Amino acid sequence: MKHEIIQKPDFAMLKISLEQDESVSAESGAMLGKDSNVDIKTSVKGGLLKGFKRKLLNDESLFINTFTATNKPGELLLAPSTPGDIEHLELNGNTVFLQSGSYLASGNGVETDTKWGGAKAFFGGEQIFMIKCQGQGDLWFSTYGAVHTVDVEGSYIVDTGAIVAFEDTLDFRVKSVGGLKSLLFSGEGLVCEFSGVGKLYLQTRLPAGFVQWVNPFRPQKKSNN
Amino acid sequence: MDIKIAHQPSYAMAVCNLEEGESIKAESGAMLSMSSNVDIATSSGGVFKGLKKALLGGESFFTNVFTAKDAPGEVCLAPTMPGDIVNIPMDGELIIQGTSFLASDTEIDLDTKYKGFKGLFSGEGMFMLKASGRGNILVNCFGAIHPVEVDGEYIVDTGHVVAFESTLDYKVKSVGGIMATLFSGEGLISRFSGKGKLWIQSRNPDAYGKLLGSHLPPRE
Repeated sequence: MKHEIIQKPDFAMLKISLEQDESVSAESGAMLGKDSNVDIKTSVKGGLLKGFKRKLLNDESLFINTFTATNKPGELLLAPSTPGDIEHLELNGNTVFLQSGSYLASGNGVETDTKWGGAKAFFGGEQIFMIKCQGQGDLWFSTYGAVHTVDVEGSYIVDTGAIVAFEDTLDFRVKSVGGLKSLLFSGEGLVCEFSGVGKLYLQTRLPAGFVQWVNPFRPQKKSNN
Repeated sequence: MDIKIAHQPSYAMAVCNLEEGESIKAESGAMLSMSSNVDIATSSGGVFKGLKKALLGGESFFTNVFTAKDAPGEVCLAPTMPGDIVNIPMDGELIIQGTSFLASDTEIDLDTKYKGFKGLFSGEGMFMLKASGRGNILVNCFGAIHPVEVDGEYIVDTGHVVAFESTLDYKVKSVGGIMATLFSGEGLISRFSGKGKLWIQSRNPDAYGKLLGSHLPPRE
């Protein structure tokens, strides 16, 4: 399987060239073009129960599409729904946690499993749901805005909304920043403190921040009286 | 302090490297990530005033001061909107459109009560800040940033104004006659005169917000 990330960085698109009978999994809705010999099969990844668990907990699409090149090689084009970049990781037996909305596609040898962020990630308004990705092969994820890679050594603090992916060699805990006044007024909300040694991938814009910005522009509901 | 603007131009982020004991002041909510030895302190023009503003949905202007403790540290800052960030080394006075302020050296004084634009901007949901002092100031823009060296006169749609040097004089007015005001779609314009630098943004946030808002269900 060959791949190329094109139209970087603002509106990146993933072009995958499949060998005959090769297949790749992608987030439902990510396909924007393909050769006609590339078959699409929709499945509930990891079985129905796991799929429902993912749906309920992650608000991620229940269905994963598997694309297979039949009879001959074939090309597939994938893109996320937000403007921004796409990043590729090659898993080699290692494990990466991926924020559920950032998953784009993965090779057959990569197992994607829902994992609770843990109770420690669960309090407060912001919920971080992570997909545990492990195995061998390609993993692609998308970011809203640019992808910013940090090599953590020691400890590092990140706004929870900016977290896209991190290696499982990093430990993390969610906390608030500063004192009470900062918690209420800093606008920084909850942060995640990572510790250990490993790679951390951030996005340079927050989807929730943009939605909050748009909200006041909604028309006012007319009262009935 | 060493400031690098990364990921330009569409989704820019400022990477601020602080020496031990050094500080930077940033717009509330701008911090994406930071070293764990960086302390955060929140300030505003009075907590209750700020709270009232926040509750009323107005532009709350809280700033956070980030300080590297015991060792050097980094703070990564980004605005909400897509667009670029520009680092303006200033010595004197700069007038900044409120939502374009991202961060500044702590030596730079920010006057949030500045009413320079003669109240006309309130209609556009804008407020202006007056920054004075010497140091670096980071401003963000919606879309691309376009600097203009004004020498004489120059006219800008108010929704595109990001910042300008206070050596420039300005007047806010409606464009053309009554027909133009109502139907040109240009709204209010700022007429700058004198000599100084002006920064404008290539997209108008208010216009974009209105476009999106008109497609969204009403608020309760």
